[in-house]
Amino acid sequence: MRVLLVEDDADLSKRIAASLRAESFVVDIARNGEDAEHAGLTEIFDVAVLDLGLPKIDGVTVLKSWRSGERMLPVLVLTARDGWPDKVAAFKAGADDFLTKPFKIEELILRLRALVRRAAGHAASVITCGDLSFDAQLGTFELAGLPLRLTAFEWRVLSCLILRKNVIVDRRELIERVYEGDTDVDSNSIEVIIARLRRKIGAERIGTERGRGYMLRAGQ
Amino acid sequence: MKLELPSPRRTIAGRLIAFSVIYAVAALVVAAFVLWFIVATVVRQQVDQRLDLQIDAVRSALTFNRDGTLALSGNPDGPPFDRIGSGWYWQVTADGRHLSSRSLDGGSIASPPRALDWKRLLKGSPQPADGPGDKGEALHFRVAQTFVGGKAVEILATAPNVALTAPAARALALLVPAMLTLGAILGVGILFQVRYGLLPLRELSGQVSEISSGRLTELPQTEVDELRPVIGEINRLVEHNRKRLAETRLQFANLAHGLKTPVASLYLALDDKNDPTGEARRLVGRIDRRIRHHLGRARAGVSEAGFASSTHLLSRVDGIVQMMSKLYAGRHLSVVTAIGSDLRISCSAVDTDEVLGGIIDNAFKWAASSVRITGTVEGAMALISIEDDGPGIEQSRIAEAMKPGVRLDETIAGDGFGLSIAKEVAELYGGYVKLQARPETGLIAVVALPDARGDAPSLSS
Repeated sequence: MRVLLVEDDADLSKRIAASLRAESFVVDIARNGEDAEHAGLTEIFDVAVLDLGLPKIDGVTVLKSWRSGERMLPVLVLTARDGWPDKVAAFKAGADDFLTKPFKIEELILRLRALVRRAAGHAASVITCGDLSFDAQLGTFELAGLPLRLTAFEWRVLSCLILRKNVIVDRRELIERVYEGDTDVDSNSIEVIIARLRRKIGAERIGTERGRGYMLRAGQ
Repeated sequence: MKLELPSPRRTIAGRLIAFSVIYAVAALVVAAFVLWFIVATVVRQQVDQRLDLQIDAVRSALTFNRDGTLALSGNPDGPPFDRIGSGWYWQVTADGRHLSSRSLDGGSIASPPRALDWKRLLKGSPQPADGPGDKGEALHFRVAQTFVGGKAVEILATAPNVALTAPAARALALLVPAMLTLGAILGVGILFQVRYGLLPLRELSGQVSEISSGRLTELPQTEVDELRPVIGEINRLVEHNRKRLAETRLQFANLAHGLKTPVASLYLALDDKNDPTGEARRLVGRIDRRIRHHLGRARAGVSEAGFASSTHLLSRVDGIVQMMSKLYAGRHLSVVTAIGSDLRISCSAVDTDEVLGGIIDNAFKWAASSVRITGTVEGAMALISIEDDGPGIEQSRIAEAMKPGVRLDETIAGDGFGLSIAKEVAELYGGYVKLQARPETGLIAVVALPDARGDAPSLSS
């Protein structure tokens, strides 16, 4: 799951990013409204954490710009302002959830997972694909009732595939959701991860659609 | 058009009318007196002319017999000098002997004392005087000293005083009703003039009220030169206040951001390793509560109460309900909003969100299955009732729930300031927030805010 974290305070953004990465999120950070607007309009993210008080362009304007650019990624607004007018304005601009500073990081992670799950069209928090299940709230995988141990990259790829099970996920899109924006990506590395996943959950579950991407199926 | 007489002193119209009426009455009294004086003077001049003519006629008819006695060559007793006791008399006196008009009926009148007027004496022209007649009646005299046949002769002619005063009195009898009629016409004219003259001021006062009730955001320009600077100044002040409020809001937002971002950072930096007892985290929590409390108070302080506002209630409530529906999507609550689409309130959009946001959030937070929001108008107030079918609050604890920082249930997120801020802002608009237990189960929160169409109550400072 790739998160766009928009927070101008270097210390806070560093701490949030570290906690999110520890939970296998891919985190790209934007420190001002201009960079945030550009990143949101040009790159693919599963969810955005958007602070409202930003330099250059304020958060609500950034959000409006994303929505008018038909970027429908779920957005959690992070605000220092307790007042309802700011919250209502943020929701009118297209926010999906909000957290008031200060907050518990666990709360932020839970909400982000819920947002990503709901955006993928899953009402229940546990998504199943055959005997493979993903608890989108806790971020854990189980195969045939037993916990599945995955590396961070494997988790990112598999969570991305299971959120859109039975749908071809474009290879380029998968790369964007798995690697942070400034990472040098080896074009073969995604194949390596897919191969490792096939070994763990069964080769037949992940289909390769040549030239297009990958699809998670329920399997035999 | 209905004409009302405003009380003097307290209104400009009253002052203008009072001054104009006093001035017009004084002018009419002076005019009436002057006219009466002119009439009296003209009457006197006419009577004098008539008497002088009579003196001339008597003088020209006057001769002396051979024995030196006075005689008349003709009869100068034309009317009214032929009517006995009429007061119209003439009398010639020479050497102590008299010749007199028929009207004197052989009687004689004493020549009244008068100042010596050499000019008239030399010219032989008559001198005016007043005195009694032979029966004591008041007479107006003209007396001429002349020489006839080398003898000094005094010729006097009289008219009754009433011949002078009666025409003047008659003129006065006509003047008084004429002046009263003129006064009445002037009075009505003054009322219309004041009304027409003050019309732009009355319009201005109406527009200022419309600004207060939110139907206008600024005063429209006028064709009246004298009011243009006033309107410009009022508009400048309104705009200045609005800008200052927006700036203050921004300052508070920046202050919140500036204070809470490092607190958030500090909160995330603390964990069981570097804060094993949790004391530091409790302190950060306290700092956060203090910041929230004071920012909340400051937010209530920058309320737009007293500014132009006419807010469409339904669209504000819809905005908040949409937000809550997203936030509480997993709860599958049934939400009913029954608010007339024409209901507007005299409360700014920002303050409406501030008042209703927390209360609607509470209803969604606690509702078991449904939330109902209704809007009605009662007198000058719009009543917004927010009902939920949650556990409700015991009647005895309702007052406690309105206190700042008090949370009746710590298991659900919140800071406990929402309700007290909502109440404070509503009160700034002359409204209120009341909580009451729902007859079945749950809570009803009633918010009263001034209806934009009604007469808003006076704003508290």
